[in-house]
Amino acid sequence: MAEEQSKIPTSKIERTGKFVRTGLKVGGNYVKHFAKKLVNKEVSQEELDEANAKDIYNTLSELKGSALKVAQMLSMDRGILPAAFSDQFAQAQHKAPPLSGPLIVKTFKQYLAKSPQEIFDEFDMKAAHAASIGQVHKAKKDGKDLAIKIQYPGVGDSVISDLNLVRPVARRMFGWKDRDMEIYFEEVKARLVEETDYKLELRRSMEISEACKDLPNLVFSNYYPEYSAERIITMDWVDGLHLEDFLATNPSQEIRNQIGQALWDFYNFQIHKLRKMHADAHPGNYLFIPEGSVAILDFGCVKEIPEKFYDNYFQLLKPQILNNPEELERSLLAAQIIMEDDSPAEKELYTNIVLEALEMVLTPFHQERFDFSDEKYFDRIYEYGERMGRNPAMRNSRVPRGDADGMYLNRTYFGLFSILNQLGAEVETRKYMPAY
Amino acid sequence: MEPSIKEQYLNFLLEHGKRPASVFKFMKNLGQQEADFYKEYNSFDALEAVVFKGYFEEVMTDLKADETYQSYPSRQKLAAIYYTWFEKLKLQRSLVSIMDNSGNRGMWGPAYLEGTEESFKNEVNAILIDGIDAGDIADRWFVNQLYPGILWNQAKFLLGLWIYDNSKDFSATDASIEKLVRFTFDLIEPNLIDSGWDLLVYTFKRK
Repeated sequence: MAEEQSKIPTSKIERTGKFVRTGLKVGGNYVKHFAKKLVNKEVSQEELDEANAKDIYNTLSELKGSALKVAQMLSMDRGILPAAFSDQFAQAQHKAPPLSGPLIVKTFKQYLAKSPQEIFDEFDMKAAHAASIGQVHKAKKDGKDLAIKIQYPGVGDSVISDLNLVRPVARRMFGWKDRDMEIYFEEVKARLVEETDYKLELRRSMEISEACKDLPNLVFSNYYPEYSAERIITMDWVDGLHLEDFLATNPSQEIRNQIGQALWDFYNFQIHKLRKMHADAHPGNYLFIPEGSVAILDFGCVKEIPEKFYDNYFQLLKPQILNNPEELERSLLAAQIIMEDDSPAEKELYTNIVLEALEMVLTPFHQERFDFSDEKYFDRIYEYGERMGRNPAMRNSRVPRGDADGMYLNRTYFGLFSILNQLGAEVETRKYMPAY
Repeated sequence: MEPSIKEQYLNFLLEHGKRPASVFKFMKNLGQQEADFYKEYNSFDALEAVVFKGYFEEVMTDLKADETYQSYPSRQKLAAIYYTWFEKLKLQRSLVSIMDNSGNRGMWGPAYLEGTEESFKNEVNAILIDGIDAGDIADRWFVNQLYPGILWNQAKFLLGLWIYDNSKDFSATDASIEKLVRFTFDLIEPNLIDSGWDLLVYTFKRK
């Protein structure tokens, strides 16, 4: 345990130091990169990205709580991040240092008035694994295996200061403009603060699992409100594999499709029927069961989809809207992608950018079945993302474009697509979609 | 039965938010002689120190009766002492804060901590000795003797933090305990210092 704990920076000052050092290291990587380039013209941008990602990752992995969470969020946006970054960040999903035994006991006594040993028949004081803002313990009661999630103390308070620490680094790393950061960070902050509220999470978990319980091949834990509180959540233990481990077992195509379909149905059912969704579509939130089902964990990040936004967003996904310029313009105005006072040239520019994106998002919906193992499709998405990242029109827009709701929905779709891609699943795409 | 002088005094603190003007006045209000007070305590400071020491001793009694505590390695034992101590003090938070505001401060800290210091150092010393035997703490000869004093300063620091902790559920204190204990034990467990010293000694002996 000593070893895991010894590298945790203890104060904000120390954490700031960490980030500054990373900044220096990344600077150093550029120097090395150009030095290498002088001797060898072949050295690629990818190599540099990889070196940078490693240093950033090493920094972030020594932080806990919200900084780790930000790393996770970034790791999902493969469209925004070069591939090397997201691979390193993906590792952040399973790492964080453990809480001490006495604090676990104290937390239980504080919220449930009893020690974990008194409540459960068996309680493993050693954390089974880390969640981003807490850790999970295994316990037994009445012959049932339980998973107990305990939150680190003071996470709520540190969210904002941690985000402010990440901000300048993220800006340099990803070349974001201040206002893009603002939108992104405000959303992230709101979600993070919500995530620290385990009571809210428990309520949502129970609500969504209940609503989705009839969907095939999805596994939801039972939750135990009587053993849960502000910083504790108790649920059934699920035996399953993380995505990489699951893929390493070489599942058959049939099983892959079945699981892919289950995930697809899960998200589209939520988006179209529940109008709220599990908005944290990163691989760490699923456990894959080799017999062909998938367990959904962690409902910390749930996004409600406002009616007005929903209508407008899916309006844009209708194929026929492309032939109706007036309606298209109305929708884009409503989505704040183009503005009333844009010049005609600007309107055309941003309309075209969006049309290209729409065309890509729509591709899976064009066919009854879509094969997500299609690398060409994903290469096109990454290529688009990188092109947009470099596009001066996107970066220098005089106003922020696109709304925060859209950002979340895109991210969720994108996260889902990316998991389906890694699974190599082929799914039926028209279920739960509104009829056109 | 008549409430004891100690109880009456603590009541006075809670009711008035400050100390009585003098032992004489306090005892007069109780309808007793000043001298009766000195039979038990020689000052308000001394009385408070006894009360405070009592809290700490209750903490240790509770902990020693707890099986989980017995199974902890030394670093977790220390954390458990801190957590349980602050839980105990939480029940008396008003009292602690009044004592902290109105008590005298000596050169080494508030007077009400004087009795607690000895108990704390004794308990910690026992944990350290067990830790050295078990190998989770490096045996650094005379340096070992400094540890109880250092840890006592840490405890005083945490107490100060807790008195002024405005975070919800005192989570700032919890986080500080986690981090401080981790940091301290990373320093005193066998680490770089010991291997460095060992190498140094070896090098000079070979010369």
